[in-house]
Amino acid sequence: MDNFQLSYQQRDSFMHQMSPYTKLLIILSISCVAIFNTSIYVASSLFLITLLSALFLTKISFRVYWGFGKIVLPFVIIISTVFPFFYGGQASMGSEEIAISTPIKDLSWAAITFGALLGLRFLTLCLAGLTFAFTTHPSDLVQNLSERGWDYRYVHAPVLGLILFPRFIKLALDILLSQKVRNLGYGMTSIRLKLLRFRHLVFAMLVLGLRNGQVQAMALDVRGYAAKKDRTYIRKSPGNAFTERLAKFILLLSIVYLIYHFNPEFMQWNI
Amino acid sequence: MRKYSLSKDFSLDTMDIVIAVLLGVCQAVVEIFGLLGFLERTVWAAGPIGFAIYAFYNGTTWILIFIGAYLRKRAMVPVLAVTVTALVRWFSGDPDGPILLFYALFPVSFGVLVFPLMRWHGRAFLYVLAVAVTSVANQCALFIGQGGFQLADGTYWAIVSMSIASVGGSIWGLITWYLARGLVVAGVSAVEIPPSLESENDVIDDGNVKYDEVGSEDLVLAIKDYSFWFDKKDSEDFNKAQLKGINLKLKKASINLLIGESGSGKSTLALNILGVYPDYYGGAYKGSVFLRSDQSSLRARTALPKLERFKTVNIVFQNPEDQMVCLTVEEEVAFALENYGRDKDDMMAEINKALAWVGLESARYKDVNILSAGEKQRLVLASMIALKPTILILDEPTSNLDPVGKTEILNLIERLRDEFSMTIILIEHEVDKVFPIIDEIHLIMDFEIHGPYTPKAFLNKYGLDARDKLGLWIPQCSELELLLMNEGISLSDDIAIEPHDFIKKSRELIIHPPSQYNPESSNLSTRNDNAALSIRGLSVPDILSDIELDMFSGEMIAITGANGIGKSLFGSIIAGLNASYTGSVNLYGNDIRKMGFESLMKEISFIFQIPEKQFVKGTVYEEIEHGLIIQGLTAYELETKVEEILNLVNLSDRKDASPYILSHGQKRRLSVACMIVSNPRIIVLDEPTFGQDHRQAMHLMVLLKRLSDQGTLVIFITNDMKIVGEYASRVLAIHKSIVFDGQPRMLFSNKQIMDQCALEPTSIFQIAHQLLGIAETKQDNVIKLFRESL
Repeated sequence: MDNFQLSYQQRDSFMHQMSPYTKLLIILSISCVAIFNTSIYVASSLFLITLLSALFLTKISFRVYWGFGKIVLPFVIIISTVFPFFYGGQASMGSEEIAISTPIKDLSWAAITFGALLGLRFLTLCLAGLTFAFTTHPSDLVQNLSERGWDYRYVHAPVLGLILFPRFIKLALDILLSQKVRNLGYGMTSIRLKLLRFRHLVFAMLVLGLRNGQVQAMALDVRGYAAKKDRTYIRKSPGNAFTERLAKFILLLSIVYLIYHFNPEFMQWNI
Repeated sequence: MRKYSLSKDFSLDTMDIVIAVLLGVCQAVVEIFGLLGFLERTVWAAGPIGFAIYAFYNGTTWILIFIGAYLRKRAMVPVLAVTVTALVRWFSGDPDGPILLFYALFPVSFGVLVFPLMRWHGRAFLYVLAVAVTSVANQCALFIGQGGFQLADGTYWAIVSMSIASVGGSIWGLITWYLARGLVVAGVSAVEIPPSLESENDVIDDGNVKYDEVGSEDLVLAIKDYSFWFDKKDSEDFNKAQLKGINLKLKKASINLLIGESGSGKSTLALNILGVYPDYYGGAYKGSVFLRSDQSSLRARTALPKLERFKTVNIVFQNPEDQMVCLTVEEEVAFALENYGRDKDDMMAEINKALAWVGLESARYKDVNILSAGEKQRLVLASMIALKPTILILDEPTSNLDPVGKTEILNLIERLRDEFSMTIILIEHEVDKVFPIIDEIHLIMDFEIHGPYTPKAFLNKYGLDARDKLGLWIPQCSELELLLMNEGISLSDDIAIEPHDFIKKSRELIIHPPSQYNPESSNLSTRNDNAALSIRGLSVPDILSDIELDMFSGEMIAITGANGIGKSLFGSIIAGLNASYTGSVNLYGNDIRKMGFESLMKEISFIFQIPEKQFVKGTVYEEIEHGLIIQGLTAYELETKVEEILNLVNLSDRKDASPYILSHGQKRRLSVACMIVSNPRIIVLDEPTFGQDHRQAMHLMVLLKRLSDQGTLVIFITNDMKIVGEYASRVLAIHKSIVFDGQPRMLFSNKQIMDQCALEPTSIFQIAHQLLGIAETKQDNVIKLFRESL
């Protein structure tokens, strides 16, 4: 994994210039609306806005998004096409008129809308997540949150994780190779072999990874890790007041929408 | 029983954070390799029934996360671990980013609430319940996020799923507890009781606050009657101390070598000087450590504020990767300065100076993961240079480097002393290059300190006992002189510590330089003309190009070259572990890519640089037995053979121990033993003598030589030219291709290739070449020729 790369794409775009905290607020707003919303029109609009923002406000090509994001497409298709068959029939999703007849079950417009809603939900969340990852350097995120008063050690932890990640991948590959070399599970059936090797992989990774933990902790402490609350930084963190106000406005809008939406007329719990 | 403290349960120290991060990363890797995200989603194809199916195994996601709670006894550890998992996957480009956070943080928040509610009784039931609750909450999150409540009978299925999750979660929770206990047995450190119940570390006696001895103006460190115990319970028994009555004084602007057998206490002493033991990681001590902070007088370390201690004394650990905590070179150098709240302009000035000093200015914005081994070592040095501690401890700073890289680092260390007046404490096995630059040697033996000695005084006092009884490496030229002394040939009173010293002293004694010298060309006794390995046109783009050679049974072949040039890659290809190449590798005439993996592994054994990576069983006995089982032996034969091999590698008294808790040398012997039980015809070893003292290294090389004499083709990848010179019958030097194939003495004679491959000849060779005019690398031959020349 010597060529492991972060997903961050260096550009000079509107989104890149937003502070990570601002983007987090926007992600939170989008996520909450996407998860709890039941209006297909809101879902479609949210998806379109997210898509247009991703394509035009980041200076990152669609090919890059496709390269990382295509992996979820099969699952989005599954959930959008399978779940309508199990739809509970709440009227507020759409009309009960039969839209498609299938050998399994006739699907109403409401059921199809339900499937589309789920698909759009995941597409929106994935797109928003990728946009955030592409436009936010992890070090900027750490700095931004720490400057806002979050405990530096906790916000730095994921960065430490990113540094260790490729080493753990390599460790896992070496362990898998060792298992083959040592013929672990000799004579077992295929399923038992896989289970045994998986169990060994996890255990060996834990032992070899965690035993180094004390040295790594010492290495942090001896360099004054979180020694002072008013830590300084060499990086200039991106951000501006306008986008922060915009993000807070979007968050407020999403809260208002969700409160408005939390209404027996719109909610569709099938109790 | 003390009162339970919620705040302590949810606050983390550095070790807790590191463990949480490691577990989070481990979980991320397992999720990717185990395709857990995909497994979870395929059950959607079955609608609400799919949710119910998933409910049973959703608890597997939480095993690693809650192991952290067992190891560290803090409920906040799992919360941080799941955050790390989600964010690592997110920033690696996983499109599920925000979804992962929702599915991780929401459920685990419920799970960790179990801990304070149960007031940390800490028995298995706690983990069973925590994982069960987390699994139930995870199902709830899935239903919310994936529209489960909108399905027909959605709420009914939600209740069914959550019930199944509670049962499944309970089972996985029990496995969590069981696995965590297994990790502790395998040597993973854990705290024993929850933080709210632990007492503060007791200082038994912290000695005087100020150091008053006359003549101490030059000192930067003074240790007085210092003893240390890892376990406080042992502190009444002096014999159980890991440091016993240490007295040590170090002067300003000096390089001090801390030397001793593996396990003698060198690292323990270093960490006590540093203060991580006992101040941060526990233990009990008696006596005092005095430090000079800036221009002040020597003061007890415990009397200095904690921030001051690490500005006064700091450390570079053996593996630079263990201390890299930032994403880019610049950030890494700035890390400590930022922590101490330095002004931005000051920091930039220090960073610029530090990077220029180590030659990394052009790598300023590079990702730390793509640096070479030498660059990483220079980077961690740069981060210390920026901090400018008065005392810097360096734990084996050259162990991962090629010979030229070692020289560069040691030159930098000398400059630290000369230009910054830094006091250096060096722990190092590479004594040939180190002895000439050090000011004092301090010997640690049985947890006690002896010395100080100058290098020559040390050699005069201990002579060959340093090698034979203490198991230490000594410079080759010193070894040679001491061996000659044993034969009655004395060169002078002072033992030489550099080849040119030896040459200068002995030149007058040479009367008859050897005029004709025909050393054995190779170990031909068991060689036959059928190649064991035949390589034709082997290429790997940008790394190896068009390699053609044959290797024969009974040879002992060294593969060497600069760091990162492709030696390990080449080794893995010829061992049949890597098929990403063009060309062919034939094993006794058969293309290894067409052979079944199992039959290939019967012929070739590969031994990794890190022995632990090869362990697959729970005890030493089982590790060796595993390799024999496939031979179809009877139970009696199996037992006899295992005992025989345990005796051969000196591990009989450790047969019931976990392989992971053995010492480094024991692990290496075990890894070799496991791979030779199948009587392979070819053995490939990656850095066999890495991190080993002289005794352990020699045991291993003698074992390999014996195998080679019996007809096994032994191939070892190494940067250790001493081992190459002494044991290899043939050496391959790699630089994009094989640039040299022949005897070590011919390689050492070829300066152009040596420079190209970042190699340096051994002291033995330099002495033989310059003094006797011959190319010879083996010590015994040089002694014989020297004797004949007098």
